[in-house]
Amino acid sequence: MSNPQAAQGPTMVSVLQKKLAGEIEPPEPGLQPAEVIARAVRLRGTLLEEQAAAETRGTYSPEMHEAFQKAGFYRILQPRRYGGYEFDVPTFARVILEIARGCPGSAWCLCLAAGHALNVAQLFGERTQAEAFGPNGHFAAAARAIPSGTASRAEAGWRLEGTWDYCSGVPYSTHVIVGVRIVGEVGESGAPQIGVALVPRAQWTMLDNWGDFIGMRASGSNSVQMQGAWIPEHYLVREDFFAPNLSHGTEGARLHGNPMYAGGTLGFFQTEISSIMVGVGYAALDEYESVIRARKTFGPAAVLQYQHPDYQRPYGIALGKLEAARHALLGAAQEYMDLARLGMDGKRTYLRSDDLRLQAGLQHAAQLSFDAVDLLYRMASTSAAAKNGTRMQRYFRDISMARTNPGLQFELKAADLARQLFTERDQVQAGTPP
Amino acid sequence: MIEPERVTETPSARQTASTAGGAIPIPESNLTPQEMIRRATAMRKTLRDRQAATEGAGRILAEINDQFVKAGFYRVVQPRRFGGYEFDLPTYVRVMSEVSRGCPSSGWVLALTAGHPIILADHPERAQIEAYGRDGEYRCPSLGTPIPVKCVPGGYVVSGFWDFASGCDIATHIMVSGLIPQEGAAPKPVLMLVDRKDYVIVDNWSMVGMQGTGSRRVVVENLFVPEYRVAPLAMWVGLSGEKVHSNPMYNGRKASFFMIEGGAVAMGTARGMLDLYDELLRTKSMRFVPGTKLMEHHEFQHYFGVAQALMDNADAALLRAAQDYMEACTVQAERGVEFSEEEDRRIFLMVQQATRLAFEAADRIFTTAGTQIGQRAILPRPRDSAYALHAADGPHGRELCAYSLRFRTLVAVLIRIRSCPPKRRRPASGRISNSDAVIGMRTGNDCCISTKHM
Repeated sequence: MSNPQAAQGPTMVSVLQKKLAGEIEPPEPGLQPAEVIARAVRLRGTLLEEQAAAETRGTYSPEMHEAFQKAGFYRILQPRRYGGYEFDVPTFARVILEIARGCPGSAWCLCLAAGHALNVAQLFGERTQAEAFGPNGHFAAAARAIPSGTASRAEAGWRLEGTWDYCSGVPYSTHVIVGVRIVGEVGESGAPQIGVALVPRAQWTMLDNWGDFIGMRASGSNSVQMQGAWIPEHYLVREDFFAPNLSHGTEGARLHGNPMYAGGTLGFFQTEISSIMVGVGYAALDEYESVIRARKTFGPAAVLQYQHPDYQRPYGIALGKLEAARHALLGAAQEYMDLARLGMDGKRTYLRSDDLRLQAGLQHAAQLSFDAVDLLYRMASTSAAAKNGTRMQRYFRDISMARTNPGLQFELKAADLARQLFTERDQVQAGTPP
Repeated sequence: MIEPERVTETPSARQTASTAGGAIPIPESNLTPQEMIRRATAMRKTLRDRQAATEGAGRILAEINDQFVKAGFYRVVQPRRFGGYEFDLPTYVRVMSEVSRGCPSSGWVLALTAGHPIILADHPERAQIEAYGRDGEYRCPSLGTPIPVKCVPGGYVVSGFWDFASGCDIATHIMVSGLIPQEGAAPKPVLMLVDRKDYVIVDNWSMVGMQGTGSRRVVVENLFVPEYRVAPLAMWVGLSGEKVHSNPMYNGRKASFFMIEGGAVAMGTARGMLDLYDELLRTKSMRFVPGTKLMEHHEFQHYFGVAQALMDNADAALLRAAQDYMEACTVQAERGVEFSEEEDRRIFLMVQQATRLAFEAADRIFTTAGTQIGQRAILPRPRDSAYALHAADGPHGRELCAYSLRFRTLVAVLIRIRSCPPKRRRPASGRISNSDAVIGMRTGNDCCISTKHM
């Protein structure tokens, strides 16, 4: 509720007035981060049982959606002022990791609908936020940053056309946040201006085109189609979703006084994805343990596999990799918060290279998890890992699907990171720091 | 790579074997290794076109099998005496790789049946004469996970089942493993030759990949297997019985041979992925400026170059392993130097690492093929070109994905082969401990390397 860094002086009055007008209490004002994480842990058993059904359905069940809602998952990053809990990014990462440990696809679906409250709180103005988070504060929004459609001027707002693929989390979304090309406007570089549009569900159609993929079938990554959709003027901002301009502070920082709404996009996006990836690793580890507890070694002196060093060793190696990945994940999530705070306080600019650096570390956290899953998949035997219907196979497919995600192509991004850092250093040398 | 003209034939073996008892005419007496490899290469496109149908059928297609029979592939290492071509292992590897490059599932079935005259070579002559019959038609999966059998006068009575019987649909026989009880000692593992009419197939094959291999369960009930149709289970065991064939290729140890079989399929599968990747990079354009073909982008050139180099090394290593195997056999026959367990394990691990290289290539291809590049400069593109791009993405992406799945399952299946019961003792040389090899077998070299220091 507190807003200590809010603007001083004359503007403060108006902020306070608006604040009073728009404020909503979250359902459980006393809820603590530890309890939300514990709730995620408690849901793992049910998620595990419902994996196959979720995969067939293409998303988690309406009952699970209700359970997530009740647990407060959709509000973890949502501003307190608009009915959210406004916990931090590490808390969100830990919740998603636990959900992914129960069902990777469901975690992907939840994470990419629940997480984007942060982006809305950061990018859009007060009026838009008050309207979007709505009277009861339930908000969930799939996002597709790549501009896959257009926005053209219309009566008091924008007309939107296009199809946005891979809108993970869309089945239970109240809104989508999409990248657009603005017709007839030219950006700084001379290329057409791009923007980010927040679009309520009534304005778009979710296509029934999800599932024909190797894995993450429960992620609800359907396409969203807009034909003659209309949004008011203030539902579109002229920003690059992947790299919004942070140099003049953000709407979110001013409105909520929380640095979480003042950081770069990539660091946060990659935290979302890597939380899921690390969770899949732990899911595979759980499954591996149950496999080796049930199977015997070959040969005359057969013992249960879990009693044999050959099967204990991969467990230990995988767990070690996953622990490293988990620490990298939570460390990066915290650093996102810290860097954003320094930026908001005017002590240090949140640089583009900071964002790329966070992303790079998080990519390698995911990579460690891939390595762990690969090892466990190979060790769990053909019958327990390659056969249809086995959990290990599902985890293997899920993580294989995720590995093709553009954000996880660390080799592709590595040169970007180096180039950006070198450019910024050159700028410092030249006396024009970024 | 071994050039075709360097492929070594074994004329001496050919002359002696073909004059012995039970001789069967050879379908094409002038067929050369080069011509067989050429046939495999020529078949790749058809195989690729039929991949989806093969996967859908859940087994090798009858029409594909007919083509393999006609091309002589099943006879590639079959003794000439029994109507085969008796080519060498490098030739075998190249034929199997080429076929797998077209269709991994069909290649797997072919490799794991066509290679098994070398396993049958451990059986007594009478069993071999029966197996090859009048026409030399012999396609025979060999199945691990031994089950106890009952001793009766003149042989054994067998009841039970074996999973993962790759090629059971088109097989003429199967070789199943059993455990013969021994008084006061551990039971003796053996391979038993069973005719097609004596087993039934249960369809329990539903896997993440390699679905087209139809590696189902086979069941035998109350079957009498005569003593002469039983041979020691070849994994890790040197030849102890009579040498039926003078060609030394038939008298080596078998663990590394099994790996060479699977390795040939792995090479072809990864090479097939590289083919698709090549096509993808030539046809798909970058999403963002400058919008050129992916192949013109240095990032993708790098990926492709590395994947290709990994594959070239993997292929070279596998062919070298096949040559080393031949040489170990020859040196044993000509100079009396034992084809030792140590040598068997050395070649085994060599193939394993070759497979690992191929897997790394395949993995790089899989993870980069779906990349939508150019996040660094999000610039607009016409809508329909986006759709065109998607369309271009579709078939290639899916096929790559399918290849990758087949490949990963294949690797998993190789692990299964590797997990056959190793001998619980240190080899005489003491240089390679059993546990090193077991770890290496099961978990690849992550563990293998680490345990060497433990």
